[in-house]
Amino acid sequence: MKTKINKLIAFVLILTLGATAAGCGKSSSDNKTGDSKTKVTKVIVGTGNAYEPYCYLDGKGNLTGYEYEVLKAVDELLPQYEFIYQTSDFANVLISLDAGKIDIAAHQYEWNKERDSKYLFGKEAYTTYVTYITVAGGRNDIKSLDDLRGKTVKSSTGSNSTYILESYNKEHADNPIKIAFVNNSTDEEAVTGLLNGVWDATIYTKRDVAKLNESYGDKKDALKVVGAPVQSSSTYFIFDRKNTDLQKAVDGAVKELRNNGKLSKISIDVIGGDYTESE
Amino acid sequence: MGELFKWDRFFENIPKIVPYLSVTFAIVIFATVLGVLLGIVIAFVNMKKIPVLHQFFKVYVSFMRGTPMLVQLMLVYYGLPVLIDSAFGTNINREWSAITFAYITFILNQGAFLSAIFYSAITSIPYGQTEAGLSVGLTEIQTFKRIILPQMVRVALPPFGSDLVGLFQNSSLVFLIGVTDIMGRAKTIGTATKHVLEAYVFVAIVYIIISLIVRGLFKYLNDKFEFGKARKTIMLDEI
Repeated sequence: MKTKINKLIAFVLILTLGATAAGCGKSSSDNKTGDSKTKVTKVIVGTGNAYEPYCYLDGKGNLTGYEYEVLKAVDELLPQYEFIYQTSDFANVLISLDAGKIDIAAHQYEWNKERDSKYLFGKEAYTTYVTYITVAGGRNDIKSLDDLRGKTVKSSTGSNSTYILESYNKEHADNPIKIAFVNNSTDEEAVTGLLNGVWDATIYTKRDVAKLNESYGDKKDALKVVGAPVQSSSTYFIFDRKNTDLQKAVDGAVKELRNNGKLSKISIDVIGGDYTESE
Repeated sequence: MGELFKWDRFFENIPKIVPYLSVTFAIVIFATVLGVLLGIVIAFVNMKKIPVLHQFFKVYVSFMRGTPMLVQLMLVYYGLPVLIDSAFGTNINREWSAITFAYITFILNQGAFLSAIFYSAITSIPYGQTEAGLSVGLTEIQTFKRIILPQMVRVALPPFGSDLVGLFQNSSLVFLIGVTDIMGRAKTIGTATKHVLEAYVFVAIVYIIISLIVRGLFKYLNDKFEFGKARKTIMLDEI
């Protein structure tokens, strides 16, 4: 009786262990085949899956977009590294970097102080990123961040626009901007919400707005940017603080791509304009 | 704003989404098969009141039942590797794919829920029946197999079925850690084609069909386990 039960427990344990071993056996054998040929270090790149045209999945479900094209070109210049891509939603990319699941975070990351204190930023920018307050085409009551106090602005956790809004709110605590954290919404949801008045405004680049108007505008401007830029910055790849070798190598490759004109070519091909120098 | 919903876009999406059903089914099958085993172990420990393990599983089950699936998914995906890698010197953090962590989360979750279903099913059979079985000379295992099990299956089936329906729906959360299932595919189609509503509607229909099939299957099983008795259960319809 007792032995039968013991057998049952042993069986269950073996089964679960077997299942997990099968899971890790697969990936470790993958690693071996890579290592045996040359001394190639595998680098896991974390990027998003829902930011067209930077990182999204195409009709067949494969990763595509500007981030991917740039990184592919970078990878070609760095024979010592082999890039593997891992997609998740935006908010989880930097968390994955924290957790050591990925080596490079690529999702149009702008430099800001908060991020800089935590991560290692690349020194070479690969796109400019000038953001504006964006409202529904018919609205004229909003021109600056001050006009947004008490109003609702769509943002998402971990984004730079959230950082800008929260920094603003710290100085204007009496009547702050209400930040609506909407994670991994699609473009269509964003436009619909802004037109419906669910949110009063959001923060976008001009090229994002142009893209949205083209997709959803019906030849009119569904959305428009207002006022002066909220922030003019550039986007960089982000690395773990200890990973300076990788950062230097990637920076070198980005610089080379910029100098030989390939970076702007990718920008024109994928985004539809050269956004690598200035706007 | 263009038209939100168009049928031709709806039909275009179908062949793109359907292949990803395999991901959803893989999660459900893994979670159910291994979850049942884990559930049996937990229910057994609870029945026998095995010290330490019994208390441990009590906390474990109440944690799994009392926290949102999403939290569990994040804890397993980000937290579990920290524990295991530092304890065993492994590197599952990077070597295991996101879907492996999704499997583990759902197995752990289902194990807890199913153990509660099994435990309540076993205890719903009066202990006098076990005593009767033992008194006529059956072993404990024979008593369980011949007297308790056939009755408890009938009690456990309806909640097991509704649990399975819920599991299918919960599996849509895995997209957040980067596993593309049917829900994730719908979302990425939305990004790539700029139209998401058609894909969501199709996914909703898929989930409805799955839940109808699962419920039908359990109704059939339920009738089968009546063992010819006329007792009519209405439990399945109530859930």
